[in-house]
Amino acid sequence: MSLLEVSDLRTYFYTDGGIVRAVDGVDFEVKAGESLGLVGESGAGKSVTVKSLLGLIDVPGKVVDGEIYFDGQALHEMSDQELRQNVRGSDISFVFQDPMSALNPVYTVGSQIAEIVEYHTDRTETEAWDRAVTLLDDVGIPDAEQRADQYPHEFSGGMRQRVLIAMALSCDPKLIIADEPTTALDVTIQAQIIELFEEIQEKYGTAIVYVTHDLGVVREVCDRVAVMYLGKIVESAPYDELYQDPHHPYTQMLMRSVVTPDQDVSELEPIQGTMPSAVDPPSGCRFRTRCPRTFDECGRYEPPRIQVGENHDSACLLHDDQFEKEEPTLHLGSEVAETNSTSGTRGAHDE
Amino acid sequence: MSIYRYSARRILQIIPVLLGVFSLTFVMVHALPGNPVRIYLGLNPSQSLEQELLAEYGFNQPLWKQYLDYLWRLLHGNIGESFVRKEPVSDLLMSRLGPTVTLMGLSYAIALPSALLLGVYAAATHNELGDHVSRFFGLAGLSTPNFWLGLMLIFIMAYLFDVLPASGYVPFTEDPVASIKHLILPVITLATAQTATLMRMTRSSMVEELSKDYVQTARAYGLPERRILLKHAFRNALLPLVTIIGLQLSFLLDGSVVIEQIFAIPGMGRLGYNGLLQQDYGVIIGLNIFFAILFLVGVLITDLAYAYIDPRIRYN
Amino acid sequence: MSTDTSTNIQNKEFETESGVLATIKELRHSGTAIGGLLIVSLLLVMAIVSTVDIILLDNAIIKSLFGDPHEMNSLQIYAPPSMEHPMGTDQYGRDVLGRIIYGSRVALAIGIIAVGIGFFGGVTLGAFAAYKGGYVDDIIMRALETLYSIPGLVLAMTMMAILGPSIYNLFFAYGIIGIPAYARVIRSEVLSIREEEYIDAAKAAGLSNSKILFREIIPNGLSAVLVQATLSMGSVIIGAAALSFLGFGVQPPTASWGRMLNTAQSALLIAPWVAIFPGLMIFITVMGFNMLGDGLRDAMDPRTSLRSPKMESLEEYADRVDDPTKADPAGSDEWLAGTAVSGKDARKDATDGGERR
Repeated sequence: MSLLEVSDLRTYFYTDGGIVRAVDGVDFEVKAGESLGLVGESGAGKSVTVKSLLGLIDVPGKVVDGEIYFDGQALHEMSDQELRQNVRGSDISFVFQDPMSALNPVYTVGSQIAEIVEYHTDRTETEAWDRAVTLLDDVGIPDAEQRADQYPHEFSGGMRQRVLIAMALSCDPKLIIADEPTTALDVTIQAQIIELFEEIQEKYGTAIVYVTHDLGVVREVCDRVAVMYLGKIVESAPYDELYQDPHHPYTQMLMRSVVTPDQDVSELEPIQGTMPSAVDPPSGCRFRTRCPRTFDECGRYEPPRIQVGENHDSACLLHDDQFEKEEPTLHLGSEVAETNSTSGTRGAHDE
Repeated sequence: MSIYRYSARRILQIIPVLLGVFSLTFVMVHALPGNPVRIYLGLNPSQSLEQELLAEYGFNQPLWKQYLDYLWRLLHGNIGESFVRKEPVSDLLMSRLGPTVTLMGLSYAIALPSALLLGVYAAATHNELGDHVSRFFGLAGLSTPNFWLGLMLIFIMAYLFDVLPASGYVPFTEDPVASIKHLILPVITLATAQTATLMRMTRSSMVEELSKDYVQTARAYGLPERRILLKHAFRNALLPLVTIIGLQLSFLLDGSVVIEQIFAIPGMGRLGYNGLLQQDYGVIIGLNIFFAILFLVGVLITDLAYAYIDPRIRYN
Repeated sequence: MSTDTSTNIQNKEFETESGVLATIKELRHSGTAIGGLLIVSLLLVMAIVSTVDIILLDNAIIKSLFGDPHEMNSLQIYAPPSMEHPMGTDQYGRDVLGRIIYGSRVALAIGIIAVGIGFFGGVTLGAFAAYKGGYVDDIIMRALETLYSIPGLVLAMTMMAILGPSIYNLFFAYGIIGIPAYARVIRSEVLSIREEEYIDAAKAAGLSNSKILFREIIPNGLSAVLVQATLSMGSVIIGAAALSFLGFGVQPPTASWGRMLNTAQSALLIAPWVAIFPGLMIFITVMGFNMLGDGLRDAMDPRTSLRSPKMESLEEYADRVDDPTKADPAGSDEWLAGTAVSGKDARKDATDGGERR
């Protein structure tokens, strides 16, 4: 039984220009103690996905469909009040992206953590404060006793992120969701924070969902990876397998566009085109407009997630047995022109 | 920088402005039509007396020397002499300080809590009916001329319903009840615009804070909305308001001139008004100086308070 | 960077229209802005018609409609409102309504001229100070602070005493008094815009400093100043009216609302209408400018949407939009209010800081 099971999650934003289908049918699982990386380009819907889990989506957005089961509880059926008291901060906690602004500047760091401890647990004020100091120490902040009395602006970026992590640990959560926690930090500090996450996983056995667009980070921390594109998960696999044997064309292109130390720079290929609009996504497979190999069917229906290995699936017709014999059309080189027709013909560009 | 350095810096910054004010008033004195002494002496002065006084007051000295003398006198607290009463302006102002300060103090006392309450309420009901209504009344309060409001209040409360006195001032120590009765209408008149402005500022400050990341953090940790509003957001929203409160002193001082005239309150504002009627330039210019000093000191105090309240400045 | 994904996607989709057009389109949705615009237009019409009337037609229009604002009629002193005189008459038997309509000229003139002086003087000084920086900046700002530290009404009174009580001196006085506020707004705009990348781009492209100032910086900073101008119209009108009320502003027989209130003060008991209507006019006028200014400010702020939230639930809304047959033929004008997105905007700070009474 998984700790977290998400099926068919859909979150839409009702905006001036149309309905933005930020998350459009997402399924994934996280087992207890496991760390899942949720990767994808900006705008893929990663942040919206994880925020939807906790009901943190605000007008004009709304979670319109889906089931979220956490530790047996049906989160999608819980009221805001129930979520507040039972889930947010206590069972599932969040580590935000920008440590600069995520903390309240007018209260001490210690008091902010202590407040959460006091709210969610039975501890007294002093006990809560002691716990805060202990946590700060645990995450590697020197002189925790003194520093707990200091204000956020007196900490450096990396230290602030540690504070946020301490806050996330404060109520012994079963799951921590980290939303791009290292993006706003220096590279050297990034490494430290990533190490911290690894430590936490080992020490406390907390499950982590790690949202990022940085594949290098994923490599360090995550057991499994799910790749998102335009509101859908296109591939998921254990990290090593994904890295060695990516199946989905999008994942393949992602891998090829990332700089890793053991790669020749001349092999880098940027992904052609840009992510299309989430208001009016391409019909059928959403990636088809940038995909180097497509069938006609790619435009007619969305490819199901097909098992391609143990614990490894990819949502692409290339892996469908039906199409084994067929030759896909190749689109190499320059950008594939887009036609968002409902008849599902592929791009009109001819090489 | 530490709070001490900040305070020292702020105090030092005032000095050139004060100097500027003194210089400006010096220019004003010498821009007056005619000869200051002649105005002082009134109509048909004797030539010899005029010459005598000119020499005595140094008006026949070179301008730069007059300027330095002027500054010297100012630094000793001499802000001039009333042309009509032949008394030092500072004395006149001091004797009238009480009523004006009472008026302004009460105005603050009413405006602050009301504005904060309404502002927070408006921000909490952001874009809903409560917000729109509050914003409308805020705008209306801003747009109401205080002199008209005063007259209307007098007409309704004093003439129509005869529940409050139309004018006059009674010191609190003399007769508390009468004192309060006489103060109700003037204070309400003065406080209306102040409340409106402050309420709007509070609202916009709160709305700004509620959109910040730390609020999102608090929500993600399940803290109740009311606590987020009143404890987390409000404390931050308060900071810029502190500065505004100091700046409002300028409008209150202006307001006192009008209100004291309408309600016949013997304060500094009234002194200025009478001074203008009588063309008593000594009083007029003395009032300019004194009001400017009051304002600058007031702003300084609020700025220092701000430095004390904001941990980012205090602990650095 | 901390951004809401929906806004990311939003920004990608929709081409941004040019500032002016976008602002006007936004304004259409603001009740306050439209109301304000109506009031201001009404005032404008009154003032223009009155001016034409006085200069060209020898008061023909007003005489035929309401009665001569200057005509004294000792038989009708302080007559209460009636069919003949909808707002009653004053202490000389003059028709109050007529005087109020004529008074609009003074109000508008003061607003435009004083704000104009303040605007041009302030923008020039402020932009110059910010641009030059260093001790030039310091000196200019200190000088303006000096001006600002004497409360406005008191300073205006003093200036009237020195210059003499005429309406032109009134314009001048309030114009000068207004300069520091504009200077401060434009200066803060210039300083923040100067740091923006597109200025670096312009410099890299070889544009001279003054060209950058006038072509890139000032136009972008103007929106904040414009809002300041609309909002301060109201305060200038009230200020000038206050001076006239005290007796030191506009002199009789010129019809001015503030002045009318001056004489009304003594007659409050016997003829309240002489006090009610002129003040009401001031209130409505100032309210109009403030509403317009408020609407303008909200429209120009990229973070707020003026469109009010729909009363229907999100489900109903989603249904309606999803199902083309139920779609609003007018094109779904009502949208849900966008919540403010996190992130600082110096513009908003600048505008708020400059707001005076």
